[in-house]
Amino acid sequence: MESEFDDVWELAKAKIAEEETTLWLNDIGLAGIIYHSFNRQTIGAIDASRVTQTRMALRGFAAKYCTDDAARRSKGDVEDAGRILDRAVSVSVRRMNTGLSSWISQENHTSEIFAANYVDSIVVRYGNQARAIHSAGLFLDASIHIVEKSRSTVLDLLRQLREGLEVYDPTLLLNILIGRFAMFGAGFVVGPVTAAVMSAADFLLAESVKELSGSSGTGVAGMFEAFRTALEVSGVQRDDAYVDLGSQIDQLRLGQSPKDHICSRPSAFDADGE
Amino acid sequence: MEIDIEAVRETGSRHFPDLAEEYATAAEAISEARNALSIDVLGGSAEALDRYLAEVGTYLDVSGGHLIDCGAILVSLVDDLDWTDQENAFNLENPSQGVDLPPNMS
Repeated sequence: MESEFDDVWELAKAKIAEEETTLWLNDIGLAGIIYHSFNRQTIGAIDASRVTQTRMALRGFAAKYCTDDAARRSKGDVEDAGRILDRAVSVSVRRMNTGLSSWISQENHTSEIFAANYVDSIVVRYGNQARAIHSAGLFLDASIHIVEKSRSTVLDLLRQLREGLEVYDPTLLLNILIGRFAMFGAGFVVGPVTAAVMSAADFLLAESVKELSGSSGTGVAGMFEAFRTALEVSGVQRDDAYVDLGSQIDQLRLGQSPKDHICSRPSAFDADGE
Repeated sequence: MEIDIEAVRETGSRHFPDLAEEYATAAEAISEARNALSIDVLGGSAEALDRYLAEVGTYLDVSGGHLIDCGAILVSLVDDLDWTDQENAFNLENPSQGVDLPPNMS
């Protein structure tokens, strides 16, 4: 029976996928809306992909530049620092060299001073900025986790319903499924609205509930209670993850000052003001 | 490697709110479906189903709110980055501007 059930289920899902665009454009029922809202390619998938690309860029950047080694290699080396800055945040080396030329044209201003009290400062600040970007990447990760968690939970509602109905009245469920979807396999042509009404999701939440409630009302009620409890627990876990994320973001933002990220202009004075 | 600031900003300001809007739409549909359900027809399972659907709606609404907040945070982070980039670019090009104060006095 399981094998036959799976065949019908796959047939129903294939039909839904085939009719997806039409279904989306029509006034479909409750579970159909859930299914198609969260299974549409544009929902979750594309957005998560775009966010993931950004996250990978952030991670790559942080791994490449947010290291003590990068700062050490650039210390005292204007050109190397310029290259790091150029690659890291699209600041032109030419821009920095222009600044250097302007600086050393003044009395008592040497490239050594420039490197010692300006480039070092810039590297430190860009290091701070890089760490902030790295943290932003972690936040993106956590955000994606929240998106995927809620998306998978909602998609899982259909699986829960199917499994629940299998447990409480599998024979009736199988008969209903075969009756509803066998016509697809037999080559019947149905209109888009009819197909929408016959979506597996619609069927599970509307028709089957009506029919099952008459034969095993208490059992089905218990099933819904179990689903509700599970969803409630999932929601609490999601909220906990969200609170953790918010706490980390707050800590980051409170721990930062604009001065940590903006380089000062060079000074001819040394650190002691001499 | 360059960070596409606009891509990050768009992710926070458009994609996340769009996704939240989809959650809100689904939650609204569920609310309408609950109103349309007939207790007489559904029998003993109706109240349990109604509570379950209410939980689904709550789950969607709260998730949507979280998504909007996550998007706003991304925008604020990228705004900070954008602003400091502009400040640094200006300072790099104009190192001789301003008053030269000793570091311990600035």
